[in-house]
Amino acid sequence: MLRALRAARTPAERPVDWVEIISENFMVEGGNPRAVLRQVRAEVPVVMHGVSLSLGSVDPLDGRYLDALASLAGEVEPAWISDHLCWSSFGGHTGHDLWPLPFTEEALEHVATRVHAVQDRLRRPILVENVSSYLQFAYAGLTEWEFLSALVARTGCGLLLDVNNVFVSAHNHRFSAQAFLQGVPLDAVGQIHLAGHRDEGTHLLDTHDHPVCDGVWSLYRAAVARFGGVATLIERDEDIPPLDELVAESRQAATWEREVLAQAAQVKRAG
Amino acid sequence: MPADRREAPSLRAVQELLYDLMTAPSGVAQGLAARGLPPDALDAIIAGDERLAAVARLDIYANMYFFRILDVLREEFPRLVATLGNDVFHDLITDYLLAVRPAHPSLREVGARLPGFLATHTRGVERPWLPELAALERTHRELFDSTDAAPLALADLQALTPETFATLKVRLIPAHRLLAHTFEISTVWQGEGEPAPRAETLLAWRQDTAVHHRPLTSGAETAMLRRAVEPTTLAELCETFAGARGQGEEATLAAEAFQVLARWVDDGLLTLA
Repeated sequence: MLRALRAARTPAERPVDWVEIISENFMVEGGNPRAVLRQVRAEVPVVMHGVSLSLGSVDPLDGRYLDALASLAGEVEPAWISDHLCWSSFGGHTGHDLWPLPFTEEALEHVATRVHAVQDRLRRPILVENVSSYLQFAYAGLTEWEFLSALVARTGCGLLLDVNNVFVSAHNHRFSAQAFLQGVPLDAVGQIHLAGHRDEGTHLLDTHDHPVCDGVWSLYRAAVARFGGVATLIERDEDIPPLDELVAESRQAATWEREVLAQAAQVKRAG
Repeated sequence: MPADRREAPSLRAVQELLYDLMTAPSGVAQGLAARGLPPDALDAIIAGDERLAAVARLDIYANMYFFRILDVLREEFPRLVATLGNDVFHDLITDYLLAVRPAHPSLREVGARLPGFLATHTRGVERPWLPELAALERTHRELFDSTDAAPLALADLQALTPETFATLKVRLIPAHRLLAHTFEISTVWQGEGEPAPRAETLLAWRQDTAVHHRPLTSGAETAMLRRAVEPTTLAELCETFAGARGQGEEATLAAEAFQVLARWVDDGLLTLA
């Protein structure tokens, strides 16, 4: 990727316009990760995406982690910082996973308080991402989109809309993916994630090891129709194909976005 | 705001229960049994359906918890895995995660305490060189992204005047470790089977992006390295070398010490203090 960025003679030749990093992978003293990050940052804007903020945990926020995050942000000057609507720690122990929250008023109040604290520490609003989930709570009275909407209203945070996660969770919990998109506040979505998943028969598993499937592309077009042009990233963590294939998939997203926005403009003109 | 559907357990109570079950060593069903709870205890908390019952849904997370960490550790300790075999390594990590629960936000740290744990585990007690092998693999991981420092170049060393040589302070780069072993672990690293029970000191360090290690065969060089952990002058390093070597022609000792320094510089081991 770095080689391709450097080989580009014009911005149009760049394989990507910006790069997303997993924040925790760069919270290290030095070596290759930090060197590559500095070189990438010199070429294109970078956004920071974390997996360990544990916004929903009943444990206290990890002050040292927040300090490290703020320090990295000071160095990288990211366009934005995001993490997930989940909990990933309990009793001082971490699970290194994105565990789902019950969508209850108690959890909403708890998460909102912590988002406020994080935003105060980072001195900027953050984007909160919806996760793929394999269970939901029998007693929860809110839908996920109601929870996210209320969180946005209470904290001023934005949303990182993971369209693949909406698709996966909608299948696993039999809710309407379209209802999710319609339920999310119109101007809150600051970034979109796309990814591949695996069909396990009894459920869909968010694996990031496949190309984006037709169903997710279709939902992406619906998301663009509702939210307009939003910075979009395709996540791929396993079975990573050659860069050309990844770039082609990323350009497919840009093509869909242009087409959907052009259609919307046409309808508006006709109306 | 709609009310929650039925009397909800507190967020803390739910997280405590689910964390306990997701990290149970033999799955959620056995975790429930271990807590004295009936198999359907989760039904009031997790919504199951004909595709997946509540326990099966939580088991997805339980499996991901264990196998994600196992995969990271298999990548970090490939020689330990090759020595133990996949099944024994799997069981070792099951025991490790019960005894040493991950507490750091980064997966990078999940293997930090495995060498120490292995030293207390049956597998490590049976073969006491295994913890030393694990420690070397962990050292490679830690040095990969430890603190940077600009290495001294050979041209810098050759350009020094005698006065500067006597006063210029240098030290080892932060990305280095001296490892004292009771077995010849360097031979296992090269795939030579069980190591001989012979004491060995290894120097591990990072040059550019690659981590290296080599056994130290000269006591004089080892003494110099221990001195160079703290800021010291090149002249003092040469004195340390001469002191460790004992008797010898002054000019010969100086030339030998300079050879050692030149190798260090070539390896990117020295930096200005």
